[in-house]
Order: sequence, then structure tokens, then C-alpha cells
Amino acid sequence: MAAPVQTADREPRMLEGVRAGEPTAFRALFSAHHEAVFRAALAVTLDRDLASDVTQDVFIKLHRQPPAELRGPLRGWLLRVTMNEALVLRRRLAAWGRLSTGRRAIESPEARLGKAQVAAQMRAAMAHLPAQQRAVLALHFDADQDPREIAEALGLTANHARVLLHRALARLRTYARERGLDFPADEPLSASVESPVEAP
Amino acid sequence: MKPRELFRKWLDEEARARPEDAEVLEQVLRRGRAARVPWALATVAAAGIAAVALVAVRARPPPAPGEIYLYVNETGAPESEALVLQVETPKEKP
Repeated sequence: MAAPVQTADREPRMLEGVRAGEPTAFRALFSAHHEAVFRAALAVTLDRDLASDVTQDVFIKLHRQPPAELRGPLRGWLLRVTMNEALVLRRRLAAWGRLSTGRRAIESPEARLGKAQVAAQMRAAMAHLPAQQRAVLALHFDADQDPREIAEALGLTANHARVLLHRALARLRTYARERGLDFPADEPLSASVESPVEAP
Repeated sequence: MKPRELFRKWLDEEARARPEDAEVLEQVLRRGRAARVPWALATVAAAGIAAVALVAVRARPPPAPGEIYLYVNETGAPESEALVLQVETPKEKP
């Protein structure tokens, strides 16, 4: 999900507008990136309310402390902040013993409907992954980021990002196989993912 | 279906009931503005206190000859009384 080309080209000037306190500039950036930020937060938190909180925090940060300079697209900066906020929030909630396991969706009425069945199964599978692996999947599959961009968003090395992606997919396949679920195990992944160098 | 498609289909379903953009935007703008108010008040208060302190220091009356004033310098140490006694009123021009 890429930002509209027109918005991406005008981002430096719109960011200047945000720094100057122009509401129209901020609204335009919000409209361009809100959905992507929410989806990324949701993939990590597995909770709509938490994802909504994270999304608000990310854009409040953009509103109060816009980046002084951008080394790439604003979407990259926003996703970096989103992942940091979402992972920190999950760690905090886990420490307080208030973390949702995400398994409620399996028992919800929606899970019985045909069109939501895949979503419910996927949700259960995702809930078994560590939050950081979910973050990697979200950045790779939904935000179309390569391992280098994923590494930058999560503060990792590129190789570590590849390893996490590889492990996340392997774990999903194992989960699906053990439960007799339909997961595309034979679909080829990109070369950059298939050949990560495992850490000793 | 490829893993990417499966992932996006799942996320599309999860994100289907996300809050309205306008609602979230209003909350963001409100919280963003609210955070600036305490900082603005603190800045104004600090400037006011500094101004009052400056006026209080400058309002110190000049010493009159024969009167003993005890002044302190920046370090808080008292200055010599002899300096005060040497203060003379300006002479009137003929």
C-alpha cells in the first residue's frame, strides 16, 4: 500500500507546513497515511482499540515533533514510529498481565461466517507469533518494504530482518500444518527472504 | 493464494471496523493542541517571574550620602560599606 504519488512528491513541503502549524498540511498527510499506520499497528497488537491508540500516538508525534529531515519517504518514518509504539505498548501490557491473546476471535460469531473464517484462522495463527515477527510480516507483506527498510524501521540489521521474516513464515506454516489449515506453503518467496544468514 | 495475499486479506478483514478517519483526526488535533497549552502557560509564567525579579532588582533606591546601605554582588557576598559612604549626589551644573 503506497502513498499516492502526488502526496509523496509534495511531502517535504507539506512537512514544512506541519512544522509551521498549518492544519491543511497535517490533514493531508494524515489522510495519506492513516490507514497504513493503523493496519501496521493492528498487525502487531491484534487489537483494534490498541491499534487505534497507537495510531493516535503516532500522528500526535508527527503533529508535535515532525522529523527535522527525512532520509526517505515519510511513510518509512511513520511506520518506524508505529512499530516502536506498538511493540513498546505490547511489552508494557504483557508486563502488567493485561495482554489480549487474540484468541477471542476464534469463538466469536463472525468466525462461523464463511468470509471471516480465513481471517479468524489467520488471526489465531498470528497470535502465536512474537510481536516482532508480526511487525516484520506487516512491513513486508502490507507495507511492501524490503529487508533493508524493515531493518531500519525496527532498529535491526538487514540480515536479522531476513531471519525474522523467514522464521515467521516457517512458524505460520508449521501452525497451519498442525491444525490442518490451508496455508500456501508451496508459494515461492522472494530471493532476499529465502536465503537469510542465520545467526550462530 | 500467495502468503502476501492471504496476509492482506486477513488484515483487510481485521481493519474493516477501524474508527472513522475524521473522528481520529479530531482527537489527534485536540490532544496535540492540549499538550501545547501547559508549555505555553509555563513559558509565560517563567517570563513573568523573570520580569518581576528584574524590576525588583532595578527598583533598588540609590544610596543617599551619609546613609549606610549594604549591597551584595552576584555571588551574594556583601560589598564594602565604604563604597556606599563614598556615593555622592551629582553636582548641579552652573
